[in-house]
Amino acid sequence: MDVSVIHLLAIMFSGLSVWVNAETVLGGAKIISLGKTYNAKVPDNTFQNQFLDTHSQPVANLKQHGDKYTFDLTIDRRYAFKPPIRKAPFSSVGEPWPLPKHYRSERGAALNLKKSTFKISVLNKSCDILTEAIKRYKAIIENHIIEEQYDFTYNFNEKIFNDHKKLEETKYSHVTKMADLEIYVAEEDCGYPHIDMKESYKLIVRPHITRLTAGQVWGALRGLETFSQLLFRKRDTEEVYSRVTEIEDEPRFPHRGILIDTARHFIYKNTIRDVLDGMAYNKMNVLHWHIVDDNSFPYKSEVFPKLSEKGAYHSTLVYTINDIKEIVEYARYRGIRVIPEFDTPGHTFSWLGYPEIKSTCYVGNVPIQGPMGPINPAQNETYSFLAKLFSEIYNVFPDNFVHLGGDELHSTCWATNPQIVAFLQTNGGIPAYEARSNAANYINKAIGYYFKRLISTLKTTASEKQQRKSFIMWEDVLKNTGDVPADSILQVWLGRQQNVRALNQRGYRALYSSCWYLDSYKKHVLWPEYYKCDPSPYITEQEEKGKVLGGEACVWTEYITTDTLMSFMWPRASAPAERLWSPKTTTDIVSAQRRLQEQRCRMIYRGLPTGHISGPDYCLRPSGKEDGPLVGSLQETRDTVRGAVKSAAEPSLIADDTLERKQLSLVVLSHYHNYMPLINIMLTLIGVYLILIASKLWKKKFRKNNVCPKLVSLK
Amino acid sequence: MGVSKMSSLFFRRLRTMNVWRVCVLVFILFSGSHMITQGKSAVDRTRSRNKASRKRLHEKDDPIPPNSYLDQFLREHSKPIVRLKSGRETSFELNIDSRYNFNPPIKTAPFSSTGEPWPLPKKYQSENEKVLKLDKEQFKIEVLNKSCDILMEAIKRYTKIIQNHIIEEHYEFVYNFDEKTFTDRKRQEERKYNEVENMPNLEIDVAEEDCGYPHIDMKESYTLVVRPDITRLTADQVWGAVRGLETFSQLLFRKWRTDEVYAKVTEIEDGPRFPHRGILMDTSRHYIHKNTIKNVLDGMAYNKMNVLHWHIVDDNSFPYQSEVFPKLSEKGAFHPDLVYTIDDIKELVEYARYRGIRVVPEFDTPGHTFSWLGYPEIKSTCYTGDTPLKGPMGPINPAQDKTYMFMSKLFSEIYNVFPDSFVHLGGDELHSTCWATNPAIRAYLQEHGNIPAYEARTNAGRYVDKAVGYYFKRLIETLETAAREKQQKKSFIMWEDVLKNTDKVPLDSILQVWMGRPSNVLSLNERGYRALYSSCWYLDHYKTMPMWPDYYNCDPSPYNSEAEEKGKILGGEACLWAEYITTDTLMSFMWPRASAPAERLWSSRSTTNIANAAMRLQEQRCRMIFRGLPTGHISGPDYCLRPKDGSFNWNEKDQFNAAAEPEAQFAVKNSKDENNISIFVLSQYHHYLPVMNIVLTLAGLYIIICVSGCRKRRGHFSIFQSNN
Repeated sequence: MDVSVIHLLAIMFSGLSVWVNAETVLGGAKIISLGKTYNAKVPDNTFQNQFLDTHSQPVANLKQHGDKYTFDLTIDRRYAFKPPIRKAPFSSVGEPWPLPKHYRSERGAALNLKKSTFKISVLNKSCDILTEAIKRYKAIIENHIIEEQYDFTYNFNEKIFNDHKKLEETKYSHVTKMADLEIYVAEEDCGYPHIDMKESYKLIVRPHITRLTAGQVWGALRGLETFSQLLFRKRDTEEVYSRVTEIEDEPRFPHRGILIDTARHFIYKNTIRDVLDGMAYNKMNVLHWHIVDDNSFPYKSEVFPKLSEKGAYHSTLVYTINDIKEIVEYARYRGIRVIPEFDTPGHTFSWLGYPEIKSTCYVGNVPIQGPMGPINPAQNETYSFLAKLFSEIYNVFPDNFVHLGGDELHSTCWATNPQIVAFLQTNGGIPAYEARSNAANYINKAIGYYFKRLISTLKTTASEKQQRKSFIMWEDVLKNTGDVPADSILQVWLGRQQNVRALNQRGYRALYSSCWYLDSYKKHVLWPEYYKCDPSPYITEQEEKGKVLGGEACVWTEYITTDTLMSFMWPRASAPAERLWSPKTTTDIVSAQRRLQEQRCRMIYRGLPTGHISGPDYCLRPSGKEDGPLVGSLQETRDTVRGAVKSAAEPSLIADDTLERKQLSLVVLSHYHNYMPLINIMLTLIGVYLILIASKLWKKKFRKNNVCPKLVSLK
Repeated sequence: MGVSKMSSLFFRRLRTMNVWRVCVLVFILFSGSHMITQGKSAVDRTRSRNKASRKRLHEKDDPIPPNSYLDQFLREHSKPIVRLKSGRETSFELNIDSRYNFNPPIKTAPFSSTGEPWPLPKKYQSENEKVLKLDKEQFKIEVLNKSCDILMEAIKRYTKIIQNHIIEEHYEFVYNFDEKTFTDRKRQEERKYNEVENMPNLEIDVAEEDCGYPHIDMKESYTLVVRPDITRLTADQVWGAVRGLETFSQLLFRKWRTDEVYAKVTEIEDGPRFPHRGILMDTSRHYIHKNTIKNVLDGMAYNKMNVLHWHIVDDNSFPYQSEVFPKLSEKGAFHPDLVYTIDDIKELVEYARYRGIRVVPEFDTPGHTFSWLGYPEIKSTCYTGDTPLKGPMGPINPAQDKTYMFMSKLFSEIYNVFPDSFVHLGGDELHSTCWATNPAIRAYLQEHGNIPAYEARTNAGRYVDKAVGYYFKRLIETLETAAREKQQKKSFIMWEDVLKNTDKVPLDSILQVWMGRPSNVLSLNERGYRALYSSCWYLDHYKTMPMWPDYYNCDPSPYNSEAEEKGKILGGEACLWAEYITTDTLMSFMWPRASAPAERLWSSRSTTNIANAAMRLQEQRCRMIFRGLPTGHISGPDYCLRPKDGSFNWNEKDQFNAAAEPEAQFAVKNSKDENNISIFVLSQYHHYLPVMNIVLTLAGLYIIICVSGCRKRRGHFSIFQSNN
């Protein structure tokens, strides 16, 4: 920890240029990665050493008490004086999250982005995704760049305060103007994002050139996000700066997801948009939408309307197909795939609209009234029902991944039902006696039969539409069966990383989630655990390729509502986001804690209701001291992609459906509403002009009779 | 001896309460008949009579009222209910059909009540089968007797709520489980709408005038009658009327999928159990924006809480912008923007006053003062051996006159800003033994406080405790003098740990218990202090599971009757420390969880039926959401609607809150003479805006046409030219 403290201070106070590299390991060792050698040594800096000798050195350190983490303030290490004051780490200034693969920035020099003249131009291929992204980031640059962090702790003594201020301001001693940002995209790929999309990019921010290069538009999106994160405002000013920086970046895993659960509590569309924005700011690319479950069925199917009629919490709390298309479109513009999960055969209590596809459970020989059991695997009707339902789902969710659920079928209902037992013996070869001798084992085998048949049904449905679908399931479907097709993807949520290896050995690809269940909130500072958790059981990134597709942070909503979802999710999900994007060797908590602090403030400053991350701290918001509507001018960029139809679902509290949305031009962007009165006047004048012409015609008509001043004569 | 006896008694009680909680079923679902829920009858009865009445009431609390219709219903239908399961983790779970003992592990919040108040009134009687319709077009609120701005503003607020923010009766899709359950239940539910009379106008009758700031002795009791022949709210003081209006608004509900507002025929006689029902809010660990504080105050009003304990400064930041000592916030606030100016605070105090809420500030000393960096001269210097440590590291220095003069000046300002007669002085967690290391402090305390200097070496912890005693004795004397100079009288609250090893703290102080169990309250009372209780209501200790049953079961009083506790336990406070809570998450951490202590502190001691509370709390959650507060979950998966037009956004709220602005006050004073306020006009003004626009435009056009029409010979472009 001592070493890391010094490292932290080195970064804080160094007036020289420091190389921070994703492959850096603390302690000054030389490390080799991808054939390149970087010197990761803490720079030798006499000024800094001198500073440390003559000043008290406030730092906030991560401490572990048993299994609990806190960040505590140490005012002066010379005296080991540590009052138990919780305090979030000091924030970094203009550093990206997640950390790029190769990242180099100079601390001694800054570039000034002149808002009035700065332009973003596209040099080569473009498409709507890119132009929309440019609009969004223009709005961010205009109004949502965070101020560099001020920490009153330095007031502890006059000398520290002044010297620290002097140090901070060295970066403004060599300021040049930032060149316009040029974006160069090599290939055109402008449909829906997909598992094989290229997200790598290069970003150069140097005195005479600011350039973003990407293979595909998806890389350009990620690069624009990084670019916006390099920017910061000088304290108490509107001046935007960035350090001289060079970045070469690509993700470690292709599947970096968030699970949201809209069945336990209904999540409003605006909150889902917030989630998608948060994902874009953290370079995550999959929204795993656990849309229905026991607790409610908010998906409003057109082929089976009774599902939501009888299973939604309330007739207004549903997602229409148009709602979903809107969200999928919103996600597409951010390079985010939307994967639906319709969980069967368990977790289906809310499918009350169609009791005929549910199993009847028995107590002894007596059938229990009502559709209590899971989906019935032992009738053809079930599969034709699901084929029809998924056929609709394929139209609504264009992604070629579909999640079929399959978790937690604890009920032994199937084993009690004689028809099911008979059917499975005849058609699945599952011996009936097992239902009595080992019901749980029997159920697991039945699940194998169910999924084998379901997947082949759904593949047929897909091929009828000239589509190809891959299916994801929770790992427990494999418990006692080998029937699940080997091209499936299994999501690990119970076991540790060795489960991933075991799945790979059986031929399946895997997603990892076990350590990222963000809804279980037991301790206050949880992210260091999320951050340390690596989804891969392999030693190198080469080995894991194609076997571990990535991972997902899960936010189940038993105890989370549309009002609290965002603050539970962010910035805690930022920890898995960096783990899934940055290289395996990015494990330096000290660097992460400062950048994460900045990331929290950045998200707040962009209008997302983000929670705490490490303890007492402050973040500013665009509305200043007033706690106005969180979403400022960014709001306008949210809705250029909206579908025509609004759902009956109401807006979330803090949000904003009531605001008028409009198409944006690049120039006016955030100022449109300023022109509203002007536009009103102009329209009025035009109207007046038209009326005058009309009245002229009218006068002509009546001139003979000399009735022109009729209106006046009314007076 | 007495203490241990009492405490063992208490623990026995606690244990039985737990068992009872485990056993309890969460329902009272289909009660089709006249149901009476009743709290304890009267506070001031003798102890023995009280015991007897509690016993009787306990029988009444039986969750299934004897009801032949219900029994029949249960025989013929599946009976979805939600049970509270206590184990390693508490949860509410769905039981679809108890006939078959089929329990899929589905977590579900309890079904919501419809038009039931929270907290439960002392005496509450309502008829489930008989409802009255409130006709929004005609309904009026009339003030019969005394009035003042607080009442007029309250009427405006509740008018607005009645107009747009009445929740819909709860719909539960679980009943779709089988057709028969669903249709029969629906039919039964709709029976109450068959022959409905209109509700008469609400008459408010306030006997005494008391319209300044709310205070510890204010009268909050009221009676409320909602009958076909009369709707009347009677209260001694305006504070009771404010509480009664809240209750009235909670009785209202909308028929499913309509805009029609109804209430059950109801009679209520109500008054609080404790006079001090507070929330602690910490604005030092994270800055809490003014709007969020207003939200907190609204939430408190909706739960009949009446004290905002504002822990305004601490180690982590000093957001209070003092005018006499400006460097405090200059050097100790998180950021120059993140401060509360005196005007900000006055605005909030005023906002609270309109809701009958007192604002008690806490300036925590001598520990928890790291952020007081602006004035190092009042901080102690700590020593390592004989070496003084550089910088203002220690707590406030108790051993110099300068400190007390500083405090006197600071609090003199604070007295002006916070009008309440209670001030919290903190005094908790002085773990540092810094004082004992400083020879100057030791010498001073020996001379002036008779604290032997050698103890600093032999038992530093105890030495510091004694020094705390000296510090507070002198501080309180100083602050009392400062108050006297202003013709004010102040009472001082401190955290219980100031008493650890000292008896110097003046006896008229109030001690807040935050570490010990209610037995600590008893021992404080025995020493002569009054007490506030908080130990079991630290809302920031957060786990995902429902935690409110624990808060709800916790009773602050170690006594057996309400008569005994009177004047000894002032009440309690729910504490929400903000280390891990920000302005964005505060409300959803606080509500509706703080509703549990709110009912504990307001309702009678015998109000302990969790099953009944669970249903009403569910409604309370949805009600708060429908009134625009970002409220969190309470018991698990559920839904709450929000206003259709989404009109309850921040801007709207600002208008709604305008009561605290001076202009608005002026407007109210003008309307003082006309006592009848019609609901219709108030909130509708903005609806006419478009119409007004059009009218104005047409008028403009008319004028233009007239002008141009007269100038027959000029071209029409000339209009623009002539404008030049």
